[in-house]
Amino acid sequence: MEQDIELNLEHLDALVEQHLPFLIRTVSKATGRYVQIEHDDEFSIALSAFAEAVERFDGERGKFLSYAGLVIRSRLATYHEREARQHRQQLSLEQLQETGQDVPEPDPCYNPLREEILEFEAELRKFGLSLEDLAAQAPKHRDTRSHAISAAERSSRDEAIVSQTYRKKKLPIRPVALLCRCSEKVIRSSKVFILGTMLVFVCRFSGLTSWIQETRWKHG
Amino acid sequence: MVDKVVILSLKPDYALAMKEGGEILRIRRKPGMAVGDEVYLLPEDLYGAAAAPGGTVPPHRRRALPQHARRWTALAAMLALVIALVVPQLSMDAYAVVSIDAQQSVQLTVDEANRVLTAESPDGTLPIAVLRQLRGRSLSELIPQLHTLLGSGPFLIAYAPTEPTASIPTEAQLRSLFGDASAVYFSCEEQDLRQAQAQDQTLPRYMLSLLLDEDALDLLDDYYEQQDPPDTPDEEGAEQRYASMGLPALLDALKQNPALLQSEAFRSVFFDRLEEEQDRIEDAREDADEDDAPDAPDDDEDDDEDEDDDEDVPDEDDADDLDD
Repeated sequence: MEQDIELNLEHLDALVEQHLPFLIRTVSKATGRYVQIEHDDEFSIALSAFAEAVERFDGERGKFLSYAGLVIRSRLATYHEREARQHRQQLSLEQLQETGQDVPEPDPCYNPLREEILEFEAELRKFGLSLEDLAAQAPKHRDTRSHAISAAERSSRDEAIVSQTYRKKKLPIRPVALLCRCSEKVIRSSKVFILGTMLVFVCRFSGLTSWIQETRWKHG
Repeated sequence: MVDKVVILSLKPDYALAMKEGGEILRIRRKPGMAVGDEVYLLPEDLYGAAAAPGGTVPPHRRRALPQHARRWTALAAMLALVIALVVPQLSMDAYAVVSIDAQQSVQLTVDEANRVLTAESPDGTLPIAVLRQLRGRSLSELIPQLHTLLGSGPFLIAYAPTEPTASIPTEAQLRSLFGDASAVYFSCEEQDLRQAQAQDQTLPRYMLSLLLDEDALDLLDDYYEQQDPPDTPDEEGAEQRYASMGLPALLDALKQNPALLQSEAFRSVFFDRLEEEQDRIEDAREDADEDDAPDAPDDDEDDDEDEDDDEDVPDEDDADDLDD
């Protein structure tokens, strides 16, 4: 059971934390997209609309979340209308460009994580693997996955294992088992996941490494 | 529950995404997704998950059993558990160890009648629940199940006495149990067993390492790796299997193998079925009582729901207030 937090702006942070799934769901439904909390204008708008709802809510007129949803959807609709208007103006700029007038093009957004993922896919292909294989063969249990990640990290620091892996194009199960002091069959049962994860460490994909090691969440 | 993920790959119907901690998930495709995006997921976003809870369909509410029925059910469960635990222990003299390796491994301690006293998976590939189900059964009963659990052969079968003075099953006995399966047999001493345990190896693997060099062992590993992995029944799979069975079928299964009560998956489904049966009997009794009683309209509940609905919808005035 969730604890009720008093509806006033002093408790806004706690209210946002408590209703984060509601906020994400409302924005996602309004936009039809996944929510990127750190980058989405829509999520910022939803947050300020939520704060407005907290401030203006009258407890005798219904349920808070229904009211907050209404406020958020209304604010998002206003934002989208404004965006659409700007887009139409931008189209007329493109028409100007077609007639020969020079308008600077915006730089495409560079995402280093995207580059890493594409390189990682290419590296996996060298071993006859795909991300789909990793998804299908990743250990389901959290502890098993954690042990496999640990085995992959230790193996990535062992030059002999790394060179044997690249030479044979497969994980050398016995040396990895010896290095990690566990049975060969434990390694064999997660070999695809260990190999894929080991490649992340060997190739020093720092973005993916931090995802795998769960450091991002903790450090912010 | 909200999870942060990074989009790894886009497929026509779904996308692959990595959760913090390395778990890779299939999630629903939505417009505007790109590889490398870091987005927030709700449970309904998982590919194949049910739609978001809309509140239109009320969740199924399980009715609690009456106090006396709960007491009887608990008593019956405890009695069955005691029988399941005590009966296999009646002849407890460990006599030999039979250790079998294929794609997966199992090590069984058996009594003189070849009945399994303990079962373990030296490499940890078989779930504890599955190992528990092997206890109390005879080797001859288990052979078909072992074929499924351990994967395709060849089977490496090693057997050893648990004490220096104990005798062991003969190869002929084991051959008769394994039939035509492709297998290699190792007759071992009690000290081989201790050596294998000291080296953290299965008994057959230890015996093989005395005979073959590393390259030959690698070849064997490669062979096993190329085979389709065995279909190891996990608790989830077992629960699904039991869930498809009715109460009579579950009781039959329990009669044949009382050790099933040690399986969490079996217990969960079995007691659910008992509760359902109890509910069904009570419903039938209530229906019979209602048939005897005169009809009386009861609109209170509907009225309550209407009131709730009114509360859910904010006033139109609120919407007007928002259009600044």
